[in-house]
Amino acid sequence: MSGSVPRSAKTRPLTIIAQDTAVLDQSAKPLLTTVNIPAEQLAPGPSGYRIRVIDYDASTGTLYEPENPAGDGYYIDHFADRDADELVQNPKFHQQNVYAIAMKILGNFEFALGRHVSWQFDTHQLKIVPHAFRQKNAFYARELEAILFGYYARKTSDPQNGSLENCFTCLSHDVVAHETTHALLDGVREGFVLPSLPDQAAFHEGFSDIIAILSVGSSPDLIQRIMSGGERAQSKGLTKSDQAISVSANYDHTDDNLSNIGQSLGPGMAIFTLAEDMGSKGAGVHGSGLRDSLNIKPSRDLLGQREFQEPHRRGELLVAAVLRSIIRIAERRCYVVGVQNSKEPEEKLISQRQLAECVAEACRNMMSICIRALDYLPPVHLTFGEYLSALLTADYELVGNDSKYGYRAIIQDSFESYGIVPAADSPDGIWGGSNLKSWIRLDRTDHHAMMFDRDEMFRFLWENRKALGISDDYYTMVTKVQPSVRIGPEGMLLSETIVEYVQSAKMTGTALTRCGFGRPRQLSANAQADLYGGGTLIFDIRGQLKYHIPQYIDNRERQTDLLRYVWEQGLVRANGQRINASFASLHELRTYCGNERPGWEESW
Amino acid sequence: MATKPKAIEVKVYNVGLGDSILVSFHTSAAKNNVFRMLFDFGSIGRNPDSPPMMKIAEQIVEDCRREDGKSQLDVLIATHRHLDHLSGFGGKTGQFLEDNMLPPKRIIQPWTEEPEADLPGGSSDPNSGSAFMRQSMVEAQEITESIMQEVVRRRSIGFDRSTDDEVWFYGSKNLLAVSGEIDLAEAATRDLADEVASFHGFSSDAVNTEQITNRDALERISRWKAAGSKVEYVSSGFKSKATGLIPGLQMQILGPAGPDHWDALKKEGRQDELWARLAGFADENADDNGKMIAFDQKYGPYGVPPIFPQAAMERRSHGNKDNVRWLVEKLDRLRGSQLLGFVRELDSHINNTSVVLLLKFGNFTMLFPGDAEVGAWHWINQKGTGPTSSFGLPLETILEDVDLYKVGHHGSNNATPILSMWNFLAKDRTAKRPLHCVMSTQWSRFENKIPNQTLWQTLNGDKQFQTMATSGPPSLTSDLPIALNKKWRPQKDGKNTIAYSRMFEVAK
Repeated sequence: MSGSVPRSAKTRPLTIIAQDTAVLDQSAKPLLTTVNIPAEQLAPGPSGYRIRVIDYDASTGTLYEPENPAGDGYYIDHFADRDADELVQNPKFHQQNVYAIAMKILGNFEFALGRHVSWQFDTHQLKIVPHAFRQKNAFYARELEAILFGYYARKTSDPQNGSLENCFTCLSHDVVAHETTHALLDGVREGFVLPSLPDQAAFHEGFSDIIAILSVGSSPDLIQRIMSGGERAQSKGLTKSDQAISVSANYDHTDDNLSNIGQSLGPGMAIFTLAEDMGSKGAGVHGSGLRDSLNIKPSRDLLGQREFQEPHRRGELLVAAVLRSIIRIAERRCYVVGVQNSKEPEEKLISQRQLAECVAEACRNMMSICIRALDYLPPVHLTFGEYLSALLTADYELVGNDSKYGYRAIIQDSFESYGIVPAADSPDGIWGGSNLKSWIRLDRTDHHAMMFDRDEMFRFLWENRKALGISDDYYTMVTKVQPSVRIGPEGMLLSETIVEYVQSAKMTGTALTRCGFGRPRQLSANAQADLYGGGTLIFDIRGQLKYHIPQYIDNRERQTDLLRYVWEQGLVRANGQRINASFASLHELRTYCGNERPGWEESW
Repeated sequence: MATKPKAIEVKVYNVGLGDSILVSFHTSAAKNNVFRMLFDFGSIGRNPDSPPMMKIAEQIVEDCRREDGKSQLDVLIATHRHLDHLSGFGGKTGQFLEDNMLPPKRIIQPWTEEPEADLPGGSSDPNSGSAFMRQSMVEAQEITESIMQEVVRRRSIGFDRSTDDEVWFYGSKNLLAVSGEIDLAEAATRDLADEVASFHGFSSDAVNTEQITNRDALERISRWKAAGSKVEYVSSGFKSKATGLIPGLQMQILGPAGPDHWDALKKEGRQDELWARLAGFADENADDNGKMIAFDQKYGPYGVPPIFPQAAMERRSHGNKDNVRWLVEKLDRLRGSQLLGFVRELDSHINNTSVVLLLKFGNFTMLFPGDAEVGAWHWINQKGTGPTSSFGLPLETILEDVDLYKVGHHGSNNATPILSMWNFLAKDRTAKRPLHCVMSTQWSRFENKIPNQTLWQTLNGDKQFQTMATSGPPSLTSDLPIALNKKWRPQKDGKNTIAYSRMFEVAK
């Protein structure tokens, strides 16, 4: 039976749109592919144990019939081997498409983090609404426990036919992946939507873009098909899959922007083509963000420029740094393969298939590192420098010796070319931890219980607050205790427990001054401001503390800068009530405004 | 002896949510020594102590009476076409002004109001920035109307609290009635979409009640022009001849961004944020002929048919499953908020066509920004005035020197932008060197919108900002609003306050 697997199977394949409806196969129809996701007893929707698709359209007040992929004794993919043009117009396929891609991204997160990831709300199922409204927008809305995808009318591609067709953001792989990543990131780090310095909101956007592009780029089949079928590929004579490509160990990237690299053969072109296609042909929701990332010439001054204070634009710097890393990692991999292929020392050739596999492998590895790094971040007030240190630490923990491909040196170098330097005060940019052990007391806490019990973990924190530099003047709460088991590329297992604690305070303008914090000019004496801090603790399998990554609430200099910024930017109201980041409005701005901003960052 | 600036009297009429400010320039001349400039005359909602608009119209006529007994403005500034700035020039009050005053000697409007026939060559070049801008304004109005039609239908579905507040703001029919614009019987016949249409100055096709649209007000200005008023359609950098009418007056026009700006945008193929928003939304909601989708009543509150009719379920099936119903209700409310968000953006678009004026008389400098919002200030700051202004100083320095600031857009969130404007304006202020702030507003039930609470607290809490507002929050000890700086003199009419005024000495 086509498109079905027995119920005893652990995974099941489901048909999805490979990238978006503008990326066509050889018969000029939207390119389809399948993804393997965990098999489960789905209810109509599809609705599974983590995701529930509800197809309600608020613009027309219509609830659509749900797809039901359950079958008698089999799991069924009703859309296997069906005509792609027909699927694009079938709402039930849209429902399956969002379910499958979101499950795939969830799987990527859970694999990389080595544990289940909860949503940032009390229930277990994220709602996904594939046709939520008529608008060129898609966003994650925590208060609705949902991701909402819009649809809009656009002119048909046929110039002779001026009529309009509906374009569905739910059929764009990168849009679905991007929004699912927002939801997952919110689940892993709920504090990242608090008002903070520009890096934090930028991180939410940039990170979601990164996962979206790496999710697509992890498939060697897709990379190869894009390279074979694209116009740029044809212009480079790369239309034959058996054509050998010359590779070099040392492309000079120091002065080029990524689009220039993309003009050359090799991994740069593959990534460039992929990202540009996603930026230009996607459902239009994310504007030209990915393409813009490619065109940002490295410079250490960019972070300070006014243009890069807006979250999406700033997030593009992060995307650019990661893409640059991937290109260089893929090149290194190609070079190693080329050396193995070639008998002559000067001639290092690889096939297009090998190239695609090198790129896909680089994307897969980088995606895992990027996701794993979330565990090595402070829970609030994130900066890009801290993310870089987290990336380097995450990779170091699983791959102690990376001399073969040199990932960490490449990542650090790429980030530094955009002015992002490690926050960790160590030569290799990795978080320090060796000096912790001698000061920490473990004799009053139950090591076993600490690994799953928040109260026991809080006891540890309280007993060791002086050693950890944690002030007891502020409200402190252990928010997460998460055991994880990770698998390294060589099959090595890494067991860690990730603990997150948050500190907070409400202080009036007068109290801020009295306690030595700078008071924002906009904050009156009696109005209250929220202060947040906290930290992340990483324990090894024996209950020994490996890392403490703090964001001290009583760091007066930093808190003063933070308060001034969030009040000047209008991220809090006069009564001190915070205004959390709205993904709806952020995405709307990006969709319609590109990099032109109406200046929303200057409100009171 | 040459005529010298002597004093300025600023009179803020208590129109409620709107603007009408008369600035009288007093000189040292023995005769004919007072010159008058009026900024706007409009309202969309009255304060508890506001008089009827007709009473204010009568007062304006009196305040502009010259020594020869005739009433005339030297300069009228119609900052932009929103109802809360122009309504008084329409309807019965506008007719009263026309009947009882000579046409203003000079009228200043934003360049976007210039009739096409007056453009060079007699007609608008369809490829020009001017046409580009006009088109965007037309689309802003059309789109707003379409959105509001859907919003109105959604009232039966329900909104969340903040959305409801905003709908109330846009559809303040009762307020229009009590402010004397229309009578209650007429208000009862009008629907919300009409209210919004009139607020935005739609053409008479858009609404049936032509007599109260802004078109009427704009037509009155046209009639004054025909009767002899000189009209200037201005943009940033325009050299107004109004200075020739008032001895000693210096004037710099900071905004709005002019046709050149739009030409450049068009040439570069760039989409300005507002234009892009409009174009994007219009495309999404256009039918096969490129017209905005006509929202059909037969589809009830939602207005449009399902996109997959073959897969649509019966409406009653929504309630069968509790978790589906939970999401449907929340999503419906969120959709209402989204639509209102668009209206808000489009509204800013028209606010940013405001004439932004800097006036210097003697040693006293005043800033009148209309309702210009942050986008306009970005432009003014970055491109509008070049390295130095006509006063020979950088814009930042000029703002630091301003003595009186008409708080933009009734104290809204975005019209006093911190980085591109307020930080310069507020720099180095002390109680001895204060910034006088004038806020014509209505303390409504909007939380933190108009006026913005943080801005209010800043302006109201510190001695370096001597602020008067026509309305403020009720105090803890009484129901009366806290609003008035005591140095401003109220002009009473029974229980009502017609205006507040204050004289400033300006001689060097």
